[in-house]
Order: sequence, then structure tokens, then C-alpha cells
Amino acid sequence: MDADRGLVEAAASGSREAFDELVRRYQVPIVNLARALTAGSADAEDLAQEVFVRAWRSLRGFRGESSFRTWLHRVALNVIQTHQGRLARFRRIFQPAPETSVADPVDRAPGADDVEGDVIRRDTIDKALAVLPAELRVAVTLRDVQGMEYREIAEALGVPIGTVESRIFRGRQRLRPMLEALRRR
Amino acid sequence: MKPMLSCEDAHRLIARLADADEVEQRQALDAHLESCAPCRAALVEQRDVAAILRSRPSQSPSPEFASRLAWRLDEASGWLGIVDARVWTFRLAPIAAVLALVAILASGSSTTQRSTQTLEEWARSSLDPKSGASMLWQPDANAESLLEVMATGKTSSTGGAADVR
Repeated sequence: MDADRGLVEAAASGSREAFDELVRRYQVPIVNLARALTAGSADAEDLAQEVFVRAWRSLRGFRGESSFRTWLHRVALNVIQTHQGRLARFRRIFQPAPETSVADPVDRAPGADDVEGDVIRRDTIDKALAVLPAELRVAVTLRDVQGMEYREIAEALGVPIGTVESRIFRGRQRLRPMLEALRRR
Repeated sequence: MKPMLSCEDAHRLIARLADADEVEQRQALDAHLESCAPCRAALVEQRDVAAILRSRPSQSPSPEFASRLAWRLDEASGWLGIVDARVWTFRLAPIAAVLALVAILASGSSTTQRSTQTLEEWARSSLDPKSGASMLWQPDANAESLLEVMATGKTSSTGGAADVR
């Protein structure tokens, strides 16, 4: 049973109060998804806002075939992928591709009491994720950062569960050397 | 006896096992892991990476996030939202393209016609009717009379013999 069902029905009927409550429930995961999938880009909050605006506009078309959370993630992935496609075209035309590198893991690995430890840990993970091919990055992020179930990920991506399992396995395998420093601390 | 899993088949099950999920073919997977050291190492690796990723510190949105989003949602709810430029741009693009094409064609044809008329009118009104050049606009001018004008600088007898110099 979808825990958001009542709110979703009210919001689909035009209740802004109900939709505002859905925003409060999901703003943190959606902002974090945008950050994780864009290597901590400054555009992440704008993208998250675009996700909610688009969800508000198209909520009447939501048929409840999946949970609201899965549907919202699908909207988010569309918004983020469109943005990244546009950004890639812009870079191809106007500037060379930026070098995506994982921060020096030894020098920058956080200690337990490090005040900036959270920032560095998040930054290291986001940059490591950015090195993965998009399909692996999305699958691993939805599973390990967002905590979605395999079935939900398969629904959000429109692929079989076996494909999700395989992408997550390969994604984690590639991430291992890049996250070595975080593993030791 | 059931066939042994291949490493490739085992990999996707290992991803689930690392998450402590329920795994299909659990007995077959356990048998495979018992006999395959690389897959056992892969299971440890999967657990390690998943634990690190799960420890990614969540970050709250900035304080302005909620107010800016509320403003955008208000905008999307009101008339500005109904007149969603992005949606209408896509919907009306084909109609706009057809209208633009029609306008260009109509404007092109009337411009050509007008410029021809203007040139002819200018020639008729500005050129000396006795000049050789004016022969170009005579309805009864033929190739021979034009050749005569070019060769002699004088109009033919039909237009009256006149010195154009």
C-alpha cells in the first residue's frame, strides 16, 4: 500500500496543501539524488525544483500503477538526464569536457572527527559516481544512495530486475578502487 | 542434480546477497560460492562498496529552496502555469512553422511582382521615348530593331528615325 496515496489523490484534485506535504516528504531525497547524479553540481537544487514543478503539472496523469515515490524518481531521472544531455551538447560545442577526477583519496579521506568529513565523504562519493557510465551510475545511486528496492528501480527505469542486478554489481565493482580510502577509515 | 551456476549468473545474485536481500537459487549460489574464490571476493567487495555508499551523508536543501519552490508552484498553478510556454512552444511549433512558410512565400511572390512592375514603370516614365534604351519597353520591338539600335545608336523607322546621341 502506497503510504502517500491519500496525499497524492488530494494533490491530483488540485490541493496545494497536499502537494506541499509531498514536497516536504521528498525534497531531501530528490535534492540528494540530483546532487549524486550531477557530481554535486550547483544546478542540483534547480533540478530538484524542476522535478516538483513537473510532478505538480503532471500529477493528474499519475495512474497509481507504481508508488508515488517510484513515479517521482522517474520524473527526476527524466529531468536530470535531459539537463545532462543539454549540458553535454553545450560542452561539445563551446568548451572541452571537464576532467572528472576523484579527489586524492589518501590526502582527503575524512577522519571520524573531521568537521568537514561529511562534505569530503559526500564529495568523494559523488565524484566517484560521476566516473561511471550513466546506466550504472543511476542503478547504483537508486539502490545504495536512495535505498530503493530492486523492483522499484526496475519500474523506475523500465528494465527487467535482472538488468538492474547486473548493473548494480558492475557499478559497485568499478567503484571499489575509487572508494578505497573511505573503506579504510 | 541441478546445474552449477556460472560466475556471470552468480554475479547478479551476489549483488542481492550483499544487500541481505532474499535471493533466488540460494542453494545453487551457496554451492557456487563455496567452490569459487573470485566470487567470494566479489561478495565481500559488493558489501564494502554498498556500505560506503549508504554512508553518504545526506544534505538538506538550502533555506531558500522551499520559498523558491513555493513561488514556482504558485506560478505553475495560476494563469502563468496554464500558459506554460514550454508546453505551448512544442504544441504550436508546427503551426508556427507553416504560418511562417506561407508568409515567406506570399511576401516573396508579391515582392517579385512589385519589383518588376516598379522597374517597368520607372523605365517608361524616365527614359526618353526616342532613346535606344526605350526600345526595350516598346511592345512592337523585335530582335531586328533592337540590333539596329545597338549597332547604330538610332531607333528604327517604326519609332521614327531619331538621333539618340
